[in-house]
Amino acid sequence: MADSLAVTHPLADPLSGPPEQTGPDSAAVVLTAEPPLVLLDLRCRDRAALDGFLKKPLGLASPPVARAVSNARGVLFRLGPDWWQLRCRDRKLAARLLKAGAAGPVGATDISDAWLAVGVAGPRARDVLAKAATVDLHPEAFPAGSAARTLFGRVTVVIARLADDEPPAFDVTVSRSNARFLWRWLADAAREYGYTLKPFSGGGA
Amino acid sequence: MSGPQYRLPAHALTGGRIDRDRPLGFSFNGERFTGYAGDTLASALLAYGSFPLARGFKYHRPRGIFGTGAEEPNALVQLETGGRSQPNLRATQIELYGGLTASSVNAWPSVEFDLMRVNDWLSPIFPSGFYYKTFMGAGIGAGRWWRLFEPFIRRAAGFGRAPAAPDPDRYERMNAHCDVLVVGGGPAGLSAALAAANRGSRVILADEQAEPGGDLLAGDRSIDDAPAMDWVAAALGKLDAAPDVTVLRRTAVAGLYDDNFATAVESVGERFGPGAPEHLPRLRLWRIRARRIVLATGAHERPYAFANNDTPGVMLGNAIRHYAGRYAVAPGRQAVLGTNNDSAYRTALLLAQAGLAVTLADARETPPAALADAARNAGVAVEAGCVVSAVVGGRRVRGAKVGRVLPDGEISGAPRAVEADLVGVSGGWNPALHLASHRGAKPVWNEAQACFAPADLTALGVGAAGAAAGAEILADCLEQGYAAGRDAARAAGRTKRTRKPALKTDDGAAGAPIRPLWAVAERRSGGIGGKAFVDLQNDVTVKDVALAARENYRSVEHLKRYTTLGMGTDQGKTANVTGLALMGMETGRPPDAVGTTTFRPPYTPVPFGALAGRDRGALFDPVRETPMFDWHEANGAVFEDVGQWKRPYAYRRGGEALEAAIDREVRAVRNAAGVMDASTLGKIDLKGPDVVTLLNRVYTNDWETLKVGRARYGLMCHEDGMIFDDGVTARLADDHYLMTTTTGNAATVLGWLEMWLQTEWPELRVFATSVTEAYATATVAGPEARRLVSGLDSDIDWSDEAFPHMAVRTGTVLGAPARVFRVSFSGEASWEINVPAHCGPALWQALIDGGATPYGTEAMHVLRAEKGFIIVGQETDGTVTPHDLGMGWAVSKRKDFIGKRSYKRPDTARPDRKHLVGLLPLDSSTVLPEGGQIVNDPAQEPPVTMLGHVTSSYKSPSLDGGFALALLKNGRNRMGDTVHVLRLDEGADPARVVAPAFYDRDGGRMRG
Amino acid sequence: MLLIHCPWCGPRDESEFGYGGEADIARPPDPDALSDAEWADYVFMRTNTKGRFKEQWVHIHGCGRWFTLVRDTVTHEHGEAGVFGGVEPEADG
Repeated sequence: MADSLAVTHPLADPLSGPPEQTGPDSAAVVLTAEPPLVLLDLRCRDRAALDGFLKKPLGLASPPVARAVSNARGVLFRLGPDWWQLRCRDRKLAARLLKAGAAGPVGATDISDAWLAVGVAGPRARDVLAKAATVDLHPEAFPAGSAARTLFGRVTVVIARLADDEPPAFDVTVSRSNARFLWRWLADAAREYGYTLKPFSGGGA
Repeated sequence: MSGPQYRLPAHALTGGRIDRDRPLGFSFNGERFTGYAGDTLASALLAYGSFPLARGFKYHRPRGIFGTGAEEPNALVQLETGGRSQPNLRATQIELYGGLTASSVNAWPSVEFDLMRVNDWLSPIFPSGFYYKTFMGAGIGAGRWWRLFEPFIRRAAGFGRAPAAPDPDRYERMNAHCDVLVVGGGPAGLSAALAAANRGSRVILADEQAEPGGDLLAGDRSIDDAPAMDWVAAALGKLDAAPDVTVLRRTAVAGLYDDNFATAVESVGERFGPGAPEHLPRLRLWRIRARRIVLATGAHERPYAFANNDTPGVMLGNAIRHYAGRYAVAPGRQAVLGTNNDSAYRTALLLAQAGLAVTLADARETPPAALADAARNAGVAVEAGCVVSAVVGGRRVRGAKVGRVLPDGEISGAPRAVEADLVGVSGGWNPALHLASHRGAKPVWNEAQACFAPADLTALGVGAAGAAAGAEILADCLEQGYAAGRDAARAAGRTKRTRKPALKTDDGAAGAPIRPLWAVAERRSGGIGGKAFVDLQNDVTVKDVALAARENYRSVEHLKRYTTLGMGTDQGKTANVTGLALMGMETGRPPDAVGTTTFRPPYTPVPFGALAGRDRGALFDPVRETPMFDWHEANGAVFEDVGQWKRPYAYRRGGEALEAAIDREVRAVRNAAGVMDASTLGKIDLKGPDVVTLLNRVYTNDWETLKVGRARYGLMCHEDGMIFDDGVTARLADDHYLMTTTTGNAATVLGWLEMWLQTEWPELRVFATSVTEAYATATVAGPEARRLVSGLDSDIDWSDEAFPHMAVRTGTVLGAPARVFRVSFSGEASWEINVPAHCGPALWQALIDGGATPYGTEAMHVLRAEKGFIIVGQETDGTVTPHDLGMGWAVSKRKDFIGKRSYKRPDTARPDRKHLVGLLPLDSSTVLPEGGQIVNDPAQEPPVTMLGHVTSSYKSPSLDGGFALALLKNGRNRMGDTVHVLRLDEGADPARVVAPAFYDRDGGRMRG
Repeated sequence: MLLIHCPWCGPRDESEFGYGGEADIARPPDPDALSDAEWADYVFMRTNTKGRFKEQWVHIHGCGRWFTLVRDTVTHEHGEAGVFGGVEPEADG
C-alpha cells in the first residue's frame, strides 16, 4: 500500500512471549496470525439495498445476523441487522466499494488496520475458545458459516467458523490493540493441551 | 500411631474401591501414615482408628471424622504447605495421593493438647450470644473490650490459615452448554444421564466424587443379580462413549443461577498433589448453561443428638457403611448403631459380615420384621424401641448407653451401658436440596418422611430424582432418574423415543416408616450428662436451641444468628433440619412453621484460585497497545494505564529522574518540537445527511456553520446538564465527519450516539463507526513543529495560510494516506497526523529522526493545564456544567440539545456554583495536592466550610513554580482572594485565586 | 447470569449486554415547555417496579442493537424482546 512507510504487524515474527511449541500435543491447537486485513465496515438499514450494493462487485448476498458467507473475492460477516464487515481479498475491490459507499444507503468505512485475524485450529480449538467464549461452539449450535460478535473474556471479538472442517478451524477477529493480549491469552489457555504458534512472517497487505 | 489396624482384610463385600497393590505414604500433623489408591484422606486416617483430628470451634473438644463426603462437619484440614496450601478442606473429600501433607485446623497449639479446651470447662459462662452480650452489649466500655479481646477470640475460633505466599498452581475456567445437566452420579443421576443420552441429548453429568456410583459405591447392592457397581461401570461405559455426553468426575456443582446457569468446580490436578503434571490445572471452574437440569444430588444422613455425640468414634451410620464397603475400613471392633429408620440395617449387616460385634438400637417399637430377622440372623443384636442416649469416652468412644425411648422422646429409666468403640447414628435423611434452594425455591415439609423435599421447579426447567426427591429405595431412584432424564431431554427438544430398561433391584420387602427423632439427651434438666450437639462444626448444642427459644429468637433467621447454627463452612448440612425441628418442639410448631433454611451458593466452599482462573499476572486484565508501543518500550517509556491502554507517561533518558524527564519534555514542546502518541483518542466516523442534526443535539454548541475542512471543539452533556465528554469534530466532506473523544470515553460516546439514534431518533440518517484503532496518531507540537512536518515527504501544504488552526487536511505523508488535524491541546502550534495504524511506527520514527522530542501524558497534562484546558474526569466529575468551567461560549442559545433544559433548573442556574479557577500557591515552590479541599480559614472550628477542591496541580517549568486548577465556590467572583488548600496529612497552603489560564492567554502561539 | 434472547443474535449471556433502565422514557419534544418538576421527572425519576418491568437493553458486545425486554424484577423471568424501529425487518434474518 504505502511505498515508504513500512507496515508492521503486532503478531509478527519474532514475537517475544510464549514459546512457539509446548504441551502434551503440539498439534492440539494451532494459533496462526493472519496477514493484515483489507476490511470494510458496511452499514445499511435495508438489507435489499446492501445486497444490491454488493451484488456486482462481490457476488455475495447478505447472510442472516451472526453468519458469514465467502467466495474468492471476500468474506462477508453479518454482525447486526444493519451492520456488516467485509474482508476483501484485494485492495482494489475495497477501494471501489469505499468510493461507492461515500454517499447513499450504504455507509462504507475502511477499518482495515483496526482489526487483525487469528486462526485457532486443531482438535482442542473448541476447548481453548470455550475457556472464554460464552457462545455455544458445538457444531450443532455453531455450524460452518457461523460468525458471532461476542465477548471473549473481557475482549470483544468476532468468532467465525467459515468451513466445516473437523477438527475445526475458527477465525477470531480482534482489535489491533488487543491482538497481543489475545495471542498470549490463547497460547496460555492452550498450554494444557499443547500448541503450535505461527506468528505472522513477512509480506504486507 | 500404631498401624492401620482397622483396615479390613480383602473381602468380597468390603474394600471394593481401593487398590491394595498401590500403597501411598502421606503425613498428617507431622506423623507418617500409609493408605491406598482409592482412599480419601479420611478413610486412610480412619484405618488407624477414630483418633481426634480436629477440635470443636468453640469448646475445643476433640473431634473425629463424622461423615464420608460434603456433609463432613468435623474433619477440616489444611492441605499442603506454602503457596499451595488450602485451608478448611474436608478430609472426606480429599483423594489420597503419595506424599500428601495435611494438618489439623483450629487447634492451638496442637490437636492433642489444645489450650482452648478450657472453654469447654468454662462453658457455663459461654452460652450462645456470650461474645456479643459481653463485648458488644451496652455495658460500660463494651466496644473497647471487644477491640481488646477480638484478636484473641479470632485466633481461638479461627479455622485454617490462608496461605501468605502466591499460589504456584494454575486454575482454568470453561464455559459449557448442554441440553441436560445431571447433577450427581448415583443410581438416579446415571439413570437420568442414560435416558437423556439415549434420546440424543447433549448431556453433562457432574459428580463430585472420585468415581460416580453414589450410594452404590458401598458395594453391597446388586442390580439384575450382579454387583450394582457392574451396572455403574456399564452405564459409565455408555456415557463416556457417547459423543455428546461429558461425564465430569470430581466435579461439585457449586451454584445454580438464573436461566439454568450452573457453576461447578472440577478437581483436575489436585488429586496428584504438588507433583501434578505441569500442564494440568489444579482446578477447573465450569460455567454450564443447560436447557434442563436434573438434580440427582442424593440425600444427607442426619444424626439425632445425644450426650457427647461429638466424641471421635461417633459417626453417621451410612458413613460407617461406606467406609467398610468402599474403603475396607471399620474403625472399631464393637459397634453400636442408633437408628429411627431402615437404612441402618445395611450398615449393621455389613459390619457384622466384617466381623464386628454389632448392636442396633432401633427407636421404632416395631422394626420391619424382614430387616430385623436378617440382622439377627447375621448376629446383630437388635434392640427395638431403643436409642443411643449417650457416649462415654472423651478423646474416643469407650462405651455407649442405650435406653428405651418413650413416645415423647424421653428415656425410660436408666439406660444400659454397652461396650462400644464405634457408634453410628442414623436419624433420617435430608434430601440435598441446596441447588434447588439457590433458585429461590422454598422446600416443602414432608411429614411422612420427616424431611424437607425440594419444591416443584418444573417451570424453571429443573427436576429432581432419587434420594434428592425423597426416594428411599434403589428401584425408585433408577425409575425416577430415568423419568427425569427422559422428560428433560424431551423438554430440551430431543424427541427421539427410547425404551425404558427394566432393572431388578435388591430392595427386598417393604420397610417401615421413620420415627421422627431429633434429640434424646439434655432435654431433661440435669440430663444424662454431657453436651448434645446439633451443629458439630459451630458447636451448637440442644441446650443452645432451647436457650434461643427461651430468649424468643424463634424464627429460623433469628435462631441461626443467635446460635450460629448452620453458619459454618458446611452450612449445616447435618444440622439445620434438626435445629429447626428442635426449635419446633420447643415452641410447639412443626419444623416448617419455624422456617426453612435458604441455602446459598456455593454448595461446598470454592477456592479463590478457581474463581480467579488465569485472570492473574500478565493476563489479569486485557491490555491495549498502540501501534508505537514497541518503540515506547524500547525508549524508556514509563507507562500509565488509561482504561486498558498502556500510554507513555514520560520517557526517561539514561538515569534521569521521572520529574526531570517530564520537565525536559515540557520544555521541548514549549521551545522546540515534541511528538506524542495520541493513537488512543477515540475516533468515530460519522456518515449521512443528518450528521449535523445529530451533532447539534449531542453537543452544546452550533454545528450548522462548520465548513468542510474545518474542525470544532464540542462539549457533550447528559440530560442533567453535566459534562461527560469533550472533543474535536472535523468535517471531512459534506456528509462525512470525524468525531474525536477522550481516550477513556471512546466506547461510551459511540454507545451514547447509538442509543439516541436507535431508541429516540431512528429517523436520523447517520452511520456511526469506530475508527479509533484504524489510525495511528502522532501529535507534533511546538515552535519548531511546522519546520519538522514540512520536512516530511507529503503533498500537504503546512503553511498557516493553507492549513490554519482548527483545519483538517487529507493527503499523503511518507506515501501513506493521512488525515491531519491542526488542533492544539498544548497551546503550541500543533498537528495531529493520522496514518493507517500499521504504518504508525514508521511515521513515528520519521518524526523522531526529524528531531522531535517524544513526550508523554504527564507533560501533556502540564502543557494543557498551563493553558487552562480541561480534562473530562479531572476538572469534571459529573456535577460540572459548561458554565461552571467558564465555557458558556460553547453553549448555544439558539438550539435545543441534550441537557440544555437543565440549565434553567434553580440549582444549575445559581450564580455561586463552584467555578473553574486557577490557583497560584503563595510559596511558588509548593505543588498543591490534587484533591485538596479549599477553605477560607484552616483554623475554623469544625465543621470547616468546604469551598471546593484542587482538580489539577503541577510544577510548571514555564512558570517556574507550582500552579493548579480548582473548582471553587463562587470562584469567578473571588479573583485575587487568598484561599487555603488543606494538605492530605495536615496543615494548609495559602494560594491566590487567578483566572484559569497561565500561559499565552491570547493563544497567539497555537495559531502561529 | 441471565440468558437474554437478543432479537437479532439469539440467546446470549447477560455479560454481552448493557442495561438501559426503564423503557418508554421518551424525550420531551419541547423541553422548554416543561416545568422544572416535569423536566426533573423525565431526567431523574424512574419507577422501581416489583414484578414485571419493561426495560431496555443493548447488545453491546454483539449486534449493537437496543431492544426492550419485560423482566420480572422478583423472579428474573423474562420474556420476548421488542425491537426499536429504524431497521427494516427481513424474512430470513
